[in-house]
Amino acid sequence: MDLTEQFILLQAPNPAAAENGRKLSRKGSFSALHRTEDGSVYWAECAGSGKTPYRVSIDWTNPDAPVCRCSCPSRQFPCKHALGLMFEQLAGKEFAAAEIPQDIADKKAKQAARAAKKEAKLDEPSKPKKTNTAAQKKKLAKQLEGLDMAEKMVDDLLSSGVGALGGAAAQTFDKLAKDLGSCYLTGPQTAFTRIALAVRTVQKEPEKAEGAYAEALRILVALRSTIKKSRVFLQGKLDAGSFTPEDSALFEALGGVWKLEDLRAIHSFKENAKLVQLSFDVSFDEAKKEYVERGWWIDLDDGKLFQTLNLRPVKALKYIKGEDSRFGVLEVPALYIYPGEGDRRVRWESAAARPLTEEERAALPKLAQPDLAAAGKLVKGAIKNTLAPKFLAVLVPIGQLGKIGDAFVLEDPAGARIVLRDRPEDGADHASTARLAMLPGAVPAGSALFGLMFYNEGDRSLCLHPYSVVTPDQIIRLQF
Amino acid sequence: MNLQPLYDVKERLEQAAIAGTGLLGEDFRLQRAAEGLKPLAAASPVFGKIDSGLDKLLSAPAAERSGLLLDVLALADAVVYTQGKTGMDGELEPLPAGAGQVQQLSYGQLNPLLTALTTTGGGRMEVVQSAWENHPEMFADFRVLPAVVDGLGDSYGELAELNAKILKQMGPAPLSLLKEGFDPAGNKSMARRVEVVSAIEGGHATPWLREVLPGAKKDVRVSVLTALGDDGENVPLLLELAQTERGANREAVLEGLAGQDGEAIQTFWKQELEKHSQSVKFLEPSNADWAIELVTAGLRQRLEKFLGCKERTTYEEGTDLTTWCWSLGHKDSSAMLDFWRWADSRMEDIDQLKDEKDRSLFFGVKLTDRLRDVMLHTGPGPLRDFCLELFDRRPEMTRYLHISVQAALLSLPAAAVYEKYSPYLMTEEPTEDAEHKETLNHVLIRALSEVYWNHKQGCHVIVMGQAIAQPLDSRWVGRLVRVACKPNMGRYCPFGGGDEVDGFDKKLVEQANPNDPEQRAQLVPYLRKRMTQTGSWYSYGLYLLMMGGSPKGVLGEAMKKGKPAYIYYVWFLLNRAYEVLPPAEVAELCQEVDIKQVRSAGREQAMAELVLPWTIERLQAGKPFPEWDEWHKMRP
Repeated sequence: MDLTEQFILLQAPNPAAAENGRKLSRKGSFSALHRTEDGSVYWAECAGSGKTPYRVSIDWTNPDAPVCRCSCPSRQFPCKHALGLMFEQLAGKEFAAAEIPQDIADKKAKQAARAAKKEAKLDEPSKPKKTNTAAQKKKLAKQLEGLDMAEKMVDDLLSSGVGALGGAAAQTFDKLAKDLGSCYLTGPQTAFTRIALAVRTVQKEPEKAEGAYAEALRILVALRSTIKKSRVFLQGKLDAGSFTPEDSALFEALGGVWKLEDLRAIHSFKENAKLVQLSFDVSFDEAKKEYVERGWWIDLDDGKLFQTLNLRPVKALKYIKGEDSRFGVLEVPALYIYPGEGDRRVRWESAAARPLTEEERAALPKLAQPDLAAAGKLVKGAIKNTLAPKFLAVLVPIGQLGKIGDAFVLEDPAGARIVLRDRPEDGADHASTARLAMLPGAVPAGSALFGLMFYNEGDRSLCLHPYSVVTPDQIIRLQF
Repeated sequence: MNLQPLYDVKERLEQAAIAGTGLLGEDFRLQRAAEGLKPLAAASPVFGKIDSGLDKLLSAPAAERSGLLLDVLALADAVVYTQGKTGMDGELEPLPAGAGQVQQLSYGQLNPLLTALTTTGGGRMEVVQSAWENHPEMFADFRVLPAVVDGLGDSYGELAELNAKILKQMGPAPLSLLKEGFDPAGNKSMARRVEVVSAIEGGHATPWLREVLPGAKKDVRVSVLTALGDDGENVPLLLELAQTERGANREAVLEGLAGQDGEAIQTFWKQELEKHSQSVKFLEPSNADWAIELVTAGLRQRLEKFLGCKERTTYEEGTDLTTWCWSLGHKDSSAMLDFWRWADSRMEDIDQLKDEKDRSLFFGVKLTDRLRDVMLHTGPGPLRDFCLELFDRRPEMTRYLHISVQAALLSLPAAAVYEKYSPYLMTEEPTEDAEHKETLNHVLIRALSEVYWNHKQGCHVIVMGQAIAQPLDSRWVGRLVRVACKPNMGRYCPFGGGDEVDGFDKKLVEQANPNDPEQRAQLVPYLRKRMTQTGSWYSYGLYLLMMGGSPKGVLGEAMKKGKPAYIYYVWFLLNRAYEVLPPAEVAELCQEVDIKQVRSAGREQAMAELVLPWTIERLQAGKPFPEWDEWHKMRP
């Protein structure tokens, strides 16, 4: 494969590690650059703070998942030395062909043995999972108890009014919300935290009151719906003695976390999917204190849109590898799809990357909705669901992009129009509409626009927050 | 269908949720909104559902109201969403072509730069600088370029200046962005925009500058006026503005006019200097003949007023003379040379200039320094030849030795310079004419102290000047180390740690070429001697290692004489020694370390007692010199 800087950044645990690796390479810290004859393993020595240089190697046997090894004590993986060695490769430095050192060869053999063992294990028929019925029953009962508590909290809150949530009341509210966590209801717990945050925003910045109250009410409406539907759902499971995860969005709304094996068990997966990333962005979830790294993907077969979410809690930021923009096609042997409607979340265990072919690139805009009307219908259908987010990712065909006054407008080939506008909830760091005016030339015919369609309370219209322009030649990312 | 009643209901329900369902019974507005929905309810079943939900809500007991309110609000929301309009009427103007480039850059590549450009806090400068050095192409990306332009108003001034520097080097790409949304009455950010536009467009910026000038205020006006000065076409306008502008604005106009040429300009400056003598400072960078003539004639005229008479200068006159002297800048021409010849001929008188309080103005020294500065910035030619002969012609002017020896270093073979000037270095105390000889000795040492070995270029260079003609003759080191009388050149701590060295010794080491065995051979014994004399074992020890010597045999003695030191400095010196000396010699140095001279506080001495014998053993066993961590772990 052709090594690119983007690939190196993708391997890095964080941007700082990559930058430090680059600096090592630039200041000439590497010596004794070697590689095997077939180019599958590269190794070198890197000067560190000590007298003895670190021995660093990269095994490229699987070019999509290089195995990095280093004698440094860093807990980051790969360390800056391994990343630096990749930058050495990228810079085209000369690596002398040599016999692979014995220690690396031994480690490589061990790794291969481990991988073979894992594969053999996968081929073995999996043993049926034992369910601790008593514990599950207890959990369901506790969740039902928690739902009662949540309902009472909603009642109390509305009885005194959302506007009255402040000071001591807010602190009590926070405490009660935390109790929901011990009832296995982290979903409603987060919802209450979001309401409290919204109300605090009103108190701190009264000029933002309208938006914050609207947000709080949207959450309350969804919460009420979750409580009502979940009570029926959980009671039904308890009565039927069914404790396996089911294909229902409620599981996640209550705070459940899907495992890949569970998604496989409910047959929510697709084999041999080909995905192309249309956009990537990162936001901070204040309520959950975590970074959300979101990728928007399109299925090359049917044009379905999916999202990947890499959640990195602040407390564990160092230990969870960050995601990054991906260019090209990702061939996914098993694409696991989360239950729900709209922009369904997907995950996978392994995938192989390759560049887009010209045909695939040209076909991408053709996967758009037929017109704005169809996209609008889809969005309205999705956002009226109380449990669904109030936006939907869509790919719509571009007839013309332009401005009416200060407003950016998209006109589809049929002449229907939609106003392009940044979604206020996304925050200033997601502002991308104005970037359309920075594009160097006219958008070619046959292009499409990918973005989030949402209902704008201000003028009671559906608007589109543009994320990427998909032309027959390239994907122009307005975000990342 | 008029949906206003639906929107009214939704709004009232939201207000009720904010105010509390406890007040629902008294919410007449909600009741009125519910009434308003009735006609719609009759027309459509979905509105009928909302209507019946409202009826239920308004008649429900207090305990049930919350749930009912949210149910009806959910329904109203859902209907409102389905009724969302799309589109906008009006003529659709196609988007103009933007200035940015489309590049395939990932979040990991872009985000650190965008964050540095758009947020606040520390560490941003390094990110932007590093991105500019490694990936200048990223700055042309359509997502980055607007952020760089906005960054001209960064609250951290240095970053704003860096952004300006970057934009200036990007060519015409950012121009449209810079001019778009430009506010002539704006702040410093707008002033920087003007600077960038002017730097990119040069004279072509004139029409835009003239367009924004009428509305330009404060910093922006200064920038616009300065920028107008870059185009000769603006001379008539600038001459006009020089009559009307005041303060900083006028100074900007003068700055612009100083860079222009022509009859009108000469006339203007003549009149300007007659009216405002201090305006001469704007002519400092100008090398135009007329400017040189004006400055030299003006300075000469001002000096002549006081020469040969007993009149003292007032404070203002003294300041004026200094400004005129400074305005000589780096000017070099035949008229300039005439001025220097004249100044040389009247130097004794110039040296006599005094102020009202009978204090010397040291104007002769100022002029001589200026002459030396000009000479160091100009190449071979009549001025350098003049400087070369200056001391030969007037040996009684001891300060001329400084200029002449440096002119010689720039022009003549190294051996010739040494042979001609080395006798002025006194290696023995003089028996006669001591004061004069000592002065010459000091002047020469100072002149030579400005010469240093540039490791990167591999040549000798004069500070703030240029490389000398040939590497310094090695005999200089031999003579300098034997010099009998040294000027006070201050004291320095070149490696920190409070270990002082004499300025003379510091300059000597900086001047020596470490690759020249002859110079090293002369310097090493001197440094060993100085190490024992001063007790500054750490600094001189490192100097010795730099010069290929060793502190072996003198380290212990020097430590005894010196101040107690942290053990880290002992480790640092020995570790450095290990890099250049054989391990056995380092082991001997370890034995020489005077443990009593290691600070007793913080268990440092006790640590030294443990680590030194251990290190000696290790070295004798052929193991490498330990890391600091290894020593530190042994701290008792």
